[in-house]
Amino acid sequence: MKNFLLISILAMSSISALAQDGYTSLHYDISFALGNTSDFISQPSFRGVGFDYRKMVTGNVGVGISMAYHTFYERKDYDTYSFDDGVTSLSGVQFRYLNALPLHISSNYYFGEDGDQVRPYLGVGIGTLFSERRTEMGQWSSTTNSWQFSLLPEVGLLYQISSDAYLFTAAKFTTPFKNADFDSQPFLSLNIGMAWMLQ
Amino acid sequence: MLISHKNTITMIKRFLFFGLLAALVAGCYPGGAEYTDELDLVATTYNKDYAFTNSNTFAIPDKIPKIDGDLGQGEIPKFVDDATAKVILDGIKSNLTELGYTEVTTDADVVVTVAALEVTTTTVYCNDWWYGGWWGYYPGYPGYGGCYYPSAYTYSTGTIFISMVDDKLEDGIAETPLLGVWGAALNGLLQSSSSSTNIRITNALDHAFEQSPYLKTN
Repeated sequence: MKNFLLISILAMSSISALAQDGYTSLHYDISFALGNTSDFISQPSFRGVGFDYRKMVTGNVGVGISMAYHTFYERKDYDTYSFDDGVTSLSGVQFRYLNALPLHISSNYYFGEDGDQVRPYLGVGIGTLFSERRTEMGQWSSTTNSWQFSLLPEVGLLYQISSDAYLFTAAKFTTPFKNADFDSQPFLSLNIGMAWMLQ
Repeated sequence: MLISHKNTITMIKRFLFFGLLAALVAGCYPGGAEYTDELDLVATTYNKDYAFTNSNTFAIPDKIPKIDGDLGQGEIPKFVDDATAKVILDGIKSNLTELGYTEVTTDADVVVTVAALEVTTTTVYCNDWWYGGWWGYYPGYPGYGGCYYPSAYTYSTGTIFISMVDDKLEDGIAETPLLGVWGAALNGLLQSSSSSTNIRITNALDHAFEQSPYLKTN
């Protein structure tokens, strides 16, 4: 009986490690430009990668960091752009880039209980978005870098596939606030990847 | 020991996964222009206080000087070859004619001048990427500080400047100083093929006048 209890406790400790420790995740991200971001680049980004770390502070609450790197790109067909009330005009093909690096401290609430194979969650992050906007036209380019205060609400799901690994999927809404350089330039990222329990 | 070995394997798997993700993102970084004409640029500006509708005639020289360093006193500038100059000048003339202007040789309302600039750029870079970051770190050690496999590429860009100045006679006297009323710059990479270059020049000229509808005269 003692052995049975011991084995049961060990087994439980294995599947409840998410609750006890937390996880790190690496994921591939697809991002969709929204609002002002889509005014600059309307094409979705298929070039994104992200990292999350969560330390479980209770059975249902985890805190940690989220960081990612997304590259948006769009080729704008030959067009004319006017400045100074139309006095100056430039025509050409534009290549637009937005490199976005969101960094957030996040807190998630995980539904379900320790040992559940599926753990959906809701969360919110607070932090910053570093972005580099570059427009290339002809042989010239114009680049603006900026740090913006940002919130990151997210919803996601962990699906346990082994004693120490999960499939990880999430939708994160990066919502930076207007600053001197840029208006808010929100985007929605869909993440899919792996999460590993902290050892 | 077994646990440590397992942890090592797990860490390797994670790094491999991360490496795959990083390679996926870095490997398909968008590259920008693929064709020469995608780098063509047309810029125009004008004097918004000027009434183009009062101008009906224009004059234009039959040669296009090359901007080629400082000219000494009495030196004759180099000129764009006649074939290319004809493409440029004919393009300007036909566009101005469409806008209602008539070419004259004397007493023109506006004079259009054209100049060309060619710039050749050579860039040297280091091929040995695996220690390219060391380049210049150890100037005292040539073996480390040099670039073992340098490469270079050269490209030439051409710019055509067009300016329009008011040359109306006021009471029989030309306005002094001449009043610049419109300007255009057409810029692009130069190609060895003159036929494709000529097509690009013609297109750029057409765009310069299309984006300047205020030039239209009565």
